[in-house]
Formats: sequence, structure tokens, C-alpha cells
Amino acid sequence: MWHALQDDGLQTFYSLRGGDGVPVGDEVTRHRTWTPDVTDAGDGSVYATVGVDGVHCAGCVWLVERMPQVVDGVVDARLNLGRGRMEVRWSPDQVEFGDIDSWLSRFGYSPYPLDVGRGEAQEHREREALVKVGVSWALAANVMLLTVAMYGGLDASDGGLWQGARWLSLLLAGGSMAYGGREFFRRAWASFRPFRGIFELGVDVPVSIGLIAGFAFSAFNTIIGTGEVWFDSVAVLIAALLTARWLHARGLRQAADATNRLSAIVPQLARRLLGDGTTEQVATGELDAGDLVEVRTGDVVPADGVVVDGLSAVDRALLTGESAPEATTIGDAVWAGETVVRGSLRLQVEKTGDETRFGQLVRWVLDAEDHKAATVALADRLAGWFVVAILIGAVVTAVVAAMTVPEDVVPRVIALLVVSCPCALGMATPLAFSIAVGRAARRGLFVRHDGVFETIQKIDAIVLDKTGTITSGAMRVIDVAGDREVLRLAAAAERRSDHPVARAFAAYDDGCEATDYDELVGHGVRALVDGALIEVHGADGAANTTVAIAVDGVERALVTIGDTLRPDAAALISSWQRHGVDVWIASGDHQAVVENIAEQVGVMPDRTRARQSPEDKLHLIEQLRSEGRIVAMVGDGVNDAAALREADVGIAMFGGADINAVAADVQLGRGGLQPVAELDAIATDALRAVRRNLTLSAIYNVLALAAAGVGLITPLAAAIAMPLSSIAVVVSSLAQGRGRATPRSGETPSTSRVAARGLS
Amino acid sequence: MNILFVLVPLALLLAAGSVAAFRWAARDEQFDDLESPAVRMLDDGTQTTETS
Repeated sequence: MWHALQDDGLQTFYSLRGGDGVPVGDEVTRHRTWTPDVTDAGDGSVYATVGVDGVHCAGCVWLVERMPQVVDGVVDARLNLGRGRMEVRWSPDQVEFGDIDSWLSRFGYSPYPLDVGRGEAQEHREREALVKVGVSWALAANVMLLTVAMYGGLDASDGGLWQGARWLSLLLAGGSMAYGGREFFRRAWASFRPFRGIFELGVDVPVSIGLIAGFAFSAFNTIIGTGEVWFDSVAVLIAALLTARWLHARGLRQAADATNRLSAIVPQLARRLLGDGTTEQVATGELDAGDLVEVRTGDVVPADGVVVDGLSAVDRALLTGESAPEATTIGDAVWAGETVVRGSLRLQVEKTGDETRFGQLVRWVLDAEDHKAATVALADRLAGWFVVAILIGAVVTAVVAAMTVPEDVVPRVIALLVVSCPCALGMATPLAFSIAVGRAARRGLFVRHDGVFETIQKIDAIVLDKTGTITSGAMRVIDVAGDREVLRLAAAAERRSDHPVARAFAAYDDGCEATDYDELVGHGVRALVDGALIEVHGADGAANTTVAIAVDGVERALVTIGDTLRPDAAALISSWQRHGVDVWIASGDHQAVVENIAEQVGVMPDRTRARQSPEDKLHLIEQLRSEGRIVAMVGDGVNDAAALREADVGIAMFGGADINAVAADVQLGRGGLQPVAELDAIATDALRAVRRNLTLSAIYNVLALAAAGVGLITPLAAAIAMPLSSIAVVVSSLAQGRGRATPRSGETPSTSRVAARGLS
Repeated sequence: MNILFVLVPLALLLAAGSVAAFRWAARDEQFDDLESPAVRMLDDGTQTTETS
């Protein structure tokens, strides 16, 4: 990247770069074939909005916006740092998007397509909400202006001025009621009209009653010319509540942004074969079943289908978590989202878009079912009771006040209706959970429903898969039988291979020259190193992979290659055991291997199961649950689907098969146990925030209602206090996780992992 | 004090103008990104030298 900067004379980047010096990624080895939806600017240029991964500071903004000066044909580039998106304008006859993509990739920024349709509606709503907030506050401020005059001594003795102030307040507050207040009335009415019982009334009901009563009495008093008016309370209340709602919408949108990246993986363009043998570029969405599509080296497969021509190796990591490229030949199935790492293939399309395995996964993540967490359901019920309690309280106050201080009846009742806030119950608890879901998504953990956060705190047994969860899935040389000298020769020979076995040799590479490299897909590699012909190919082995190294035709060494243990696995497992969680390992692998790994991480032999079939894993979970335990299951691959569904919390590796996608409660964007620990941390924060919210709300309501009932609070004070309490609860929800060390940064969601696959 | 009959409506007119401007700005998506403009200010227009 340094060279890239020097070449373009962009050294100023260093002076503007902020942050902790986290190195920007290197060149992406994959070759993308997508172009974004472009809009014609009318003057020969087109523009598009795309997401950009990897931007995080002032230096990045400066760098990206240098593009027009450095890349010919680019007219303008603007980066939105907060949301990680860029709007770029260019002349199609001078440069194409692929060039822009390449230029950005040099610095480690990966552009990805944005799901425009979905996001746009949400953004529009958020913008409209902001406008409402602005207008409502403008109205409220002006009403306050007039009211302050009245507090300051403007009264009936000022004749026309006083009347004018009241009538003007009526107009402004009335405007606010009609414009901003409308949504409260609408929602209150919606919970009222299909009358499902008095306990089903929504939280907007007391608010609406308060607003309407306040406005009506004030209007009446304005018309007859005497008595108190409370237009200020009404207007301020509307403005403050709308602000709280807007903040809520913003929080949800920020959470949605994180999951947007998933849509980026499958390419936008595909090469369709025409009858005469030429190819045309079509949008992936326009492919039909039966179409013939060509996929070249480095490209991502655009649809599910069957190979009709070509020999290649594909990386299925996205779907299966298997890091080893698989040889693919005529008749084999390929799936959308896979990368062709060697060779090329032609496939006949069977399924496209949402119907593909990967499409189903994306749908799962984005349209998660509405399982209401127990806490939220409880909160809803409480809200219903609460509303009834408030209405009763209002009636009681009215009666008591009518008998003791009749002139104070209306303000007291209004103050009471207004100051009560079931908002914490109705709004902030789901908000705490959706913020937690967003936090998790940003760390690559996709939570399907809020209940997960509660259940995961209660688990007392966890069943782990071995490969990819406890082990890294990356190969390393374990044992050498024979001449160790040849390892470096083999490393030179394997240097250009992508295979995980090849990477095991990387540690022994001393840089000597290898020529005439030849790869036999599925068998091994061959190269000329130091004049000798080196062949590295698979050999029969027991539990682990065994590889033979031959020099000039003579076998000189047998190397055993095995899976490495993840560094954090042992520590996390023992930490769980200390907290009383029973840790089990269930794997499809050989007994010896599983026991070996189990011993290294501190799991007792009676808690390990090897050679597990899908049914075996399911039985294990069933057995544990029948003992009354709350079981979590971490797994990946087709083996685990049934077990994941049976478990109380099913955690699946994102790269796993799509069956898992439906069965699991949580999808992990990266392997290992660290994400599970992070999920637990986020859940703890979320529940803490919920408890905090409920406590705050309870204390506030008891005190406020009592005060309003005895007349200690004026309607205006009530109007200010109530939204403040709402906002306090919103802030408390947003603040979850602050003040404690957040999970290690530097780990990115799986899309970046796929893009950077060539690095590890 | 009768001047208030003129001043208050005038003030309201000005307020209405501000609100209209705010509404226009929000719809023009100017409030969508509040971070990048702050960072963009740091650019002092240093000329880049292209060697590639």
C-alpha cells in the first residue's frame, strides 16, 4: 500500500491518518465483476452510491476524495465516513467502475453494492421524522415565547395583547397537534378500535388523552376569554416525544447498516453464454434456470447450478466453512457465493437470487422472525396494566381535587396523564434488545431474535463441534517421518498453491526459487526447485492428512499435517467450566483426534463424543435437555442442523450449510469460541440495560404520579419531565457496554473475511 | 407595547422561514452525514504529484 501512495504522490495521507495505526488491508486477490446501479447525471457522466469497507478516519476521507485528481474520468467522489458509503461520479467513456474498484482496492478499501431499495424507504422515513422534530420544536419554542410572557406578568389587564397571545398559542399548538401529534392519536386509536380488552391499550393512549384534554380545555378557555391555558405543555410534549422516537429510528437504522454487507457477496453481473459461443454480461437477477453461465478464475459464482464444462477448484468456505478448495468437474453442483480459485467453469443455472442456498441465508438474516423475548412480552403486559392504572389514577385525582381544590382539577389531571410514562416498558426494552442485536451484527454475530440474549445467560451445558470451532481449521505440520531437509523444498513448490495443505508448509519456506510449477487438482503439486523435481502429493494416512514429498522421483519424507488448536479455546472452555457450564465436544472426526484435542482444552473424556452422525448429535442434545439442562450448541456443516434446532440456543457458523441457517438462533461470521464469548458479553450488557430501564421507569413513575396527584407538578413541568424520562431510558439503552472493555476490535464480519481469504 | 402586534407576527414569519429552510435541508439529505464534512475541512488543497 505504501507504494500505491507514493506512486500517486499521496503522502499527505499519513499526516491525516487517524486512529490506532491499524494497517489497511492488502490487495484483494479476488476479481469482482459487479457494477453498481448508475444514474445518469445528464451531462455525459453517471453517478452511483456504493458501500466502502475499510474506511475509518480522516485520512481515508481525504484519500478517497482525491480520486478525481488521480483517476482520469472520475468527476467527483464523496465519502460518508459514518455510514461507510461513497457517492462517485464518472464519465463512462473515459473510465469504468472496475477501474475505480481497482484503484480503491490498492489501498485496501473494498467497495460493495448497497441494497438501495430496502434502505431508501427507511432513510426517507428517518428524514421525515427529523423534519417533524424540527417543525415541532419550532412551534413549541414559539408557544413558549408567548407563555413566558404570560408567566412574566402578561395577564388579563393587558387586554388585547393577552388575548392575542392566547389565540396565537392556540394556533401554533393546534398546528403542532395536527402535524406532529397525529401519529400519537393514530397509534392510540389503532390500539383502541379493535377493542381487545382494556389491558391491550397502547402506551399512546394516556399520552393522547393528555394531549387532547390539555388542548381542548385550553382552547375552551381561550374562546371564553378566562382561565388557564396549557398550550406550552402540549407543544413541548409533542416535540420531545417525537425527538425520542426519531432517536429510536436512528438506532434501528444503524443496526440495519451492519447487516447490509451481507448482500455484497454475490456478484451483480454474470457472463451468460449465447448460442453462437460469445458471452454477454447480464445482471445476475436476470438469469433464468437453464441459462449457461461462464465463471472465470477469481470470480464468484452468481447462481446455483450444475457444471457442464471445465475443470476447476472452488472455494466453498462461505457455505460450508471448508477452507480447502474442492475440485469441481462436469456434473458437479456449484452454488452461488463460491469463488473459483483455479481454472474456469461453465454451469447451467438451476436456482437464482433468493432461491440459492446463499440467498436463503441472507433472507434468514435480514427477515428474522418476530420471536418476542420473554422480557418484552412481560413488558407489553405490564404496559397494559399501567395504562389502566393511570386512567384510574386520573379519575381519582379528578374526584379528590374536585372536592378539595376545584380550580386545580384540570391541571392536575392533565399533569398526571402527561407525566406518566409507560414508555420505558413499551419502547426502551425492545430498543435495548435491538441495539444489542446491532452491536452483535457489527461484530459478525447475527442474532435471530431477542430471546437469545436471555437464554444464553441461563445455559448450563454447551456442546461444541471440533473442526473450525475449537480448532482453527488451518493445517500445520505435526510430524515428519524422513528427511526434514526436503520441507523447505516442498515449501518452495507449494508456494503458489492456495490449498490449506500448502499453507502448512509456509513456515518452512526459505525463499528458494521454484519454477515450472504445475498443480494437479486433487492430487498435489510439482515444481522444479534447485534443479530437482519436487513432487508433493497426498498419501494414505490415519486420522490426519499425510503428505509425501518426492525428490526426483524418490520419496524422501512423509509429513503429517493436522489441525491447529485455536489459541483462545482452552482458556474460554475452562472459563465456562468455572462458571458451572458443562462443556461437551461432539465431532464427526476420529476418536483419537477428538480425544487429543479434548485433552488439550481440558474437556474430560466422558464429555467427548467422536464419529458422531447427525442423529448422534441430536440424541446428545435431547439427552442433556431431558436432564433439565439448558443447552447451547455451536456447530457448522450439515451434521449439526437437527441438533442446532433442538438446542435451546443454536449457534451456527455462517459458512455452514443453509439448513443450519433455518435451524440456528445465531449465525457467527467467523469461527472459534471467541464470538460466543462476545455474544455472552453483549447479552449481559443488554439485560443489564433492560433492568436499568425498568428500574428507572418504575422509580420515576411512582414519584411523578404521586407528585402530580397532589398538585406538585404543573402541566408544563410534566410535559418536560416525561420526555426527559423517555430520553433517559433511550440513552441508558444506547449506553450498554460502555465502561467495560469491549470485545477485541480488528475482527471484521465474514464478508471481509471472504475478501481477504487470500491473506491468512 | 402595541408594537408587539407587529413584532410577534414578524418573528413568527422569520421562524417560519427558518423552518422552511430546515425542511429543505433535511430533504436535501444534508443532515444524513454530519461526520465527513468535519473531516473534509482538513484538506488544504495540497497538490498531488502524479508519477504513475
